[in-house]
Amino acid sequence: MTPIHVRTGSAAHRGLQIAGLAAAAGALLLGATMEAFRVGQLTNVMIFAIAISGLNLATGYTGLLSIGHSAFFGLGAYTTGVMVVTYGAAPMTTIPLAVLLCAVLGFVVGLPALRIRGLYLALVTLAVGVAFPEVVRRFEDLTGGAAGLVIRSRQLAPPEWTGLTVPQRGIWLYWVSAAALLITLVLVRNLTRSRLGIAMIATRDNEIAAAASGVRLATVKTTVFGLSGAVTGLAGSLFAMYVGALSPDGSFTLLKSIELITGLFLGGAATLFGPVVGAFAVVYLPYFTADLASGHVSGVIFGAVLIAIVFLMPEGIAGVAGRFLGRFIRIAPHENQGERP
Amino acid sequence: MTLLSVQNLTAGYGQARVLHGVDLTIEEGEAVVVLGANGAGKTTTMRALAGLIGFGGRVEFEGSPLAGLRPDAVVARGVSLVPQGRGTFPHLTVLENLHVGAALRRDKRGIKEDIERWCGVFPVLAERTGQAAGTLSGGEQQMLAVARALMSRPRLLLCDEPSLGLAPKIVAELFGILATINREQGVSLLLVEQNAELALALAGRVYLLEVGRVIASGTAAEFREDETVRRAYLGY
Ligand SMILES: Nc1ncnc2c1ncn2[C@@H]1O[C@H](COP(=O)(O)OP(=O)(O)O)[C@@H](O)[C@H]1O
Ligand SMILES: [Mg+2]
Repeated sequence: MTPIHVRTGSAAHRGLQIAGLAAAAGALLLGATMEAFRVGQLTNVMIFAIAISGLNLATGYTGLLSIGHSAFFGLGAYTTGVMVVTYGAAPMTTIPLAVLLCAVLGFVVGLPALRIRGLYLALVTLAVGVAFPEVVRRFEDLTGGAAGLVIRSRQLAPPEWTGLTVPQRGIWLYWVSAAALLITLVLVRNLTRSRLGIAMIATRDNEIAAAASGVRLATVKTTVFGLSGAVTGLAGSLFAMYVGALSPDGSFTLLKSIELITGLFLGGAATLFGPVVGAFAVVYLPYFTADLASGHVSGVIFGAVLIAIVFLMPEGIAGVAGRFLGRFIRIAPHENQGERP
Repeated sequence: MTLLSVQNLTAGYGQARVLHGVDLTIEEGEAVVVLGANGAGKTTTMRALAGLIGFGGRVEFEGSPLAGLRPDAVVARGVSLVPQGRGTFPHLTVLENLHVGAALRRDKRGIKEDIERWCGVFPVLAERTGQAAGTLSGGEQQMLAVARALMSRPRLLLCDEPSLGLAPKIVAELFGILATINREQGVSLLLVEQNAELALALAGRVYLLEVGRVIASGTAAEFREDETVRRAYLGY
């Protein structure tokens, strides 16, 4: 069958976008009516999706493999944790600081990218990922060290204007995470269509040709790491509110980095919705495989499923789904060729 | 007027020196070709001129030195490179590829005009503006790489073996376009080629590079007459 062609910016395209948003809103409303445990799981998925979206900027769109994104996730979480526990800040007000600190860390981690490339850069990020839990342990006075940092549920109360009570903080965080994910997706979409976004993809696709075209690789790489760290830091900040108890060996080790990378490639690197799909996969796949078998066997099945998906769908689930949909409907750029949409 | 003057250019990779003192000049509006066997240092010369690797010696473009400039600064000065092999960004559309070529420009109107202009010169691109570059044929990609390099409005275009791996018919078309760009748009050309036959038809002057040194230079006509060159590069 021949696909239906839709032009970007046309009424039909607007209609599709609105239908997509309506479907997402419907799914979120439905999710909100579920039992608290499920609402929590979905919140976790959305936080994961934000974290993976951050990684996607560096690793997916720019081709800079980072094994250290657990550090951004952790720095975001600990910034919120420390601000709330030690300084009595309202959780939401800590988000800007968490995002800012992670942007700065990202920029600094990106600096070696000026001189080194490829696997060496990945090694630098690995070092950052390894160092983070150590740093948390070292600065015990601030972070609670190995014993951990516990945010009391009273401190996680939804803001007064919402009229929600402490026991309703789960549903509050669910909607906050949904809003944060929506903002993240809109930002990533706009970024990847901007000048910088095109420079990012050009750098990944062909570094020499990009440099020879006048793309400032150094600026692109450090900026991307800063943005990437900031987005994953946002997820970390929300995660602190979600779990309420932070410990250096809990969710901020290299295992978290590996989960994020797995989610990114499962869902589809360098796609907008890949991180969302990947987040669902990394949160729910272990449950499914645990149903099939127990203990180590479940882990083996989980690994086998991952390998199968990566081999069968190198573009990730979202990439394959996008191509499948492309058979029925094609969205073409606007006729006006000189302008970028 | 001399556009590019290169004296005693040295460059290499780490400890390994590849260029041992290359001298060449390009006059305003000229098309010059560098011939040489595989591994002679042609690509290294191009990389050095484009600011992609450091170099020693004197390189002056329009009278001021290029030494120490980063690639984007070299582009800003008016030198643009079509690298050897794939010079495109496969996951970006043809249009986006052209926009990358204009990475340093801010004149939206001018960029738009140039896109139209190069799509006129390369009609295969005009038909495929929204298509990912990776889906183009080898010849189309090479055309795109050239158009992309022209988007920075260079005074000097460096082309590193544009004919590599292309069918003869496509190569002839590409060289025809390069000649037109040189003559009609006033873009000077430094072309690296192994295909001497075609290169000599396009270029006015020739340098012959061997193991990092210029071992001969002259006009294209002189080269065509030269016995050793004929035997080594033209095969008759
Ligand atoms: N990136 C590199 N690292 C190390 N050596 C290189 C690199 N690129 C080229 N060389 C070496 O430099 C020499 C010249 O290469 P090159 O300039 O590519 O030659 P040509 O373009 O004339 O075929 C060769 O001996 C090649 O092996
Ligand atoms: Mg070469």
